[in-house]
Amino acid sequence: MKFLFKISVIFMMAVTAFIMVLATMQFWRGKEDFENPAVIWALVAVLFCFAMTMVFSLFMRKFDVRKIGFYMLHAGVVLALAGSMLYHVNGVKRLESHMIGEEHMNNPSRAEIRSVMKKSILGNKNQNVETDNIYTFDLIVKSFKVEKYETIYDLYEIEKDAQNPDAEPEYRRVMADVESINGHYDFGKYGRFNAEGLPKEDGKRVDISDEVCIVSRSPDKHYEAQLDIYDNYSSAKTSKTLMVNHPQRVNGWKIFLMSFTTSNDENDEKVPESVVLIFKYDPGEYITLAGWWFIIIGSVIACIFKIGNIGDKATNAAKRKIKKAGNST
Amino acid sequence: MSMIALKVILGIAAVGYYTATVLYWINKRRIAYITNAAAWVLNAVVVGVNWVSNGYMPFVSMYQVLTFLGLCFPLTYLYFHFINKDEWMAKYFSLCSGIVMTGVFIMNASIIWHLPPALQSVWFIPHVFAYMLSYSLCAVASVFSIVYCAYPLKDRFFKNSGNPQNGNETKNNKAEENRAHLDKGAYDLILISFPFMTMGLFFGAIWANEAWSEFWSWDIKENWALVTWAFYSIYLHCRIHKSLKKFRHIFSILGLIALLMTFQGVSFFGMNADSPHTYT
Repeated sequence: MKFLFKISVIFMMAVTAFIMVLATMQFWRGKEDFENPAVIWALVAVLFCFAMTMVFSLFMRKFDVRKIGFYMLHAGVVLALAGSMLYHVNGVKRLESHMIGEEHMNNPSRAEIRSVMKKSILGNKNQNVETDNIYTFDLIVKSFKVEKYETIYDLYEIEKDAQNPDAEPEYRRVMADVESINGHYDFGKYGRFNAEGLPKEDGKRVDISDEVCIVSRSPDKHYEAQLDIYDNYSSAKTSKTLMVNHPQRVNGWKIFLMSFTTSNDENDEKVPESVVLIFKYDPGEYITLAGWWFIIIGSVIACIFKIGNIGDKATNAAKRKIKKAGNST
Repeated sequence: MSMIALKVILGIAAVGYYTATVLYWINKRRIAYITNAAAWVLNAVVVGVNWVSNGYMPFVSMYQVLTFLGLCFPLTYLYFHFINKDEWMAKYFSLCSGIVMTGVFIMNASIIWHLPPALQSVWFIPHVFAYMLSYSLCAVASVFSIVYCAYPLKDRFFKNSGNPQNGNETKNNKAEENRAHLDKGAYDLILISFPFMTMGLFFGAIWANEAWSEFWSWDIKENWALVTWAFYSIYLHCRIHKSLKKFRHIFSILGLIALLMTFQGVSFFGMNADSPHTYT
C-alpha cells in the first residue's frame, strides 16, 4: 500500500515535470507544441496513466467514510480526464463568421468565409476545413447590438529618425486610458481638451503637434446577437439572444458568441458586419463538469478534516502522553 | 481621487507594513499591531476607491488585483492569530503585504479599467477571490519553507564556538523549536490555502467553458497555474509518506516559483497577448 502510494506520488511528480516542461517551452514556441499531434497523444498517454494511478489508489484502500474527501477528489480527476478524453475523440468545435442579416448558415457560399476565418483566427494552416453541413439546425443572425464605454484616449510621442527623415516614425505611448473629467480630457503638460472637440469613434487620430498625437478608443461594454434558429427535424423556428458568457444550446450543440467584425458605412463610421461564433459538440461536457465539482468539493472536505487536526498531531500526542504519565503517578 | 494621491497612500501603506514587520521582529507587538492595522486601513481605502471609481469589484487589472492581494495577507493572518494563536507568523504576513504594496507603488497604472464583456461573469469574483486568498497563504507558507531550509546554513555560517556546552545546547533546542514552528506553520497554511487554490483553478475552468467554449485550452497561464497546484498537492502528499517527507519543503519552494511564474512571470515575459488572461 505504502509502496503504491510512493509510486503514485513519484508519478505525479513526473506528470507535473512534463507539464512544466511544456509550459516552459511555451515561452519560446507559443502553443505550437499543443497543436502537434505527437505531443497531444503523449500528453493523453501520460494523463491516462495518471488517471489509472488514481483509480488504483481509489480501489486499493479500505473504504472509510471519513475519507470521503479523498475519494471525491481522486474520482473527480478521473471523471474530468474521462470527459475531456470523450471530447478529444468524439467532439467537434468549429469557429465561424456569420454575416449579420438574412444569410442562412447552410448556404454553400459560406464555405469560403469559414476557411478564411479558420486561417486568420485559429491560425491552423494545415487543417482541412470541412464544408459539409454537420449541424442539425439552420441559423440566421437577425441583428446585432453593441454598447460602448465612453471614449478614452491614448497619447503618443512621435519619434522621427533625424538621420533618415523618410523612415517610418516610432510611436511611444506616454499616457494611456485618459478619461473625461467634467467634460474635459486632461493630458497633463500636453494640454486640456474639451470632449466636444475630440472624435468619439474608435481608432481616430488627432495630431496635437508634430511630436505628439492622441488616438481614441471606445472599448466594448456589451454586445449581443439576436438569432433565429430553425430545427432541421421539426422545422420549428426559435429566437434566442446570444451574449458573451451566455452560450445557447441547440440540439446538443452549444453556440458561443466570441467577437464581431466591423466595416465602414457611408458616413465612414464603423458598424458591425459579421459575428464570430463557435459551434461546439461536446459529449463529455457533463462528465468533465461533474469531475471539476468533485475535485472542488473533495479538496474542501479533505482539507477541512485535516484542518480539524491542525494543532499538530505530534505535539498533541506528546501532550497526551505527559498527561497520562502524570495521572498514572 | 487622482492616481498621484492613491500612490502616496500606497507608499505610506507599504512603509507601514515594513515598519510593522520590523516592530514584530523586535517584539514590540502592541505598536506593531497598530501600525499594521493603520497600513491595512490605507490599503483598504485604495481598494475602496478602485471599487467605487469602477463600479465593480476591483479584480481586473494587475494593479487592482495586487492592491487587493496586499489586503488579503493581514486578513488571513487573523485566522492564525485568533484560532491557532500563531502570533509569531505576523511578521511574515506583513512583510509579504509590504512587498506587494511596493510592487503596486512602482507600477504604472490607471484607476479606471473598463470591464470587457468576457469578464462580466458570475465566476469572475469567486475565481479571483479564491486565488488571492490562496496565493497570499501559499506565498507565506513557502517563505516559511525557505527559512526552514536556511536554518542549517545559518548554523554553518554563524557558528558561535566560544559559548559553553550548555549555551550551545539551549541554542540548538531553540533553533529546533523554531524549525518545528516553521514546518507546522507551512503545513497549516498550505492545508487551508489548497481548497481555495483548487476553487480558483477549477472555477476558472468552469467559467472558461461558458465564455471561451473550452474547460482547458492549454494556455500558458493555465499551465503554470496547474503546475503550481500540482506542486502544492505533491507537498501535501509528501507529508504523509515517511520516506518522501524530507522532500516536502522543496515542493513548497517550487510551488512559490511556479506561483510567481503564473502570477507575474507570464505577463512579465509578454506571453499572455493571445490568452484569455491578456488583461492581467
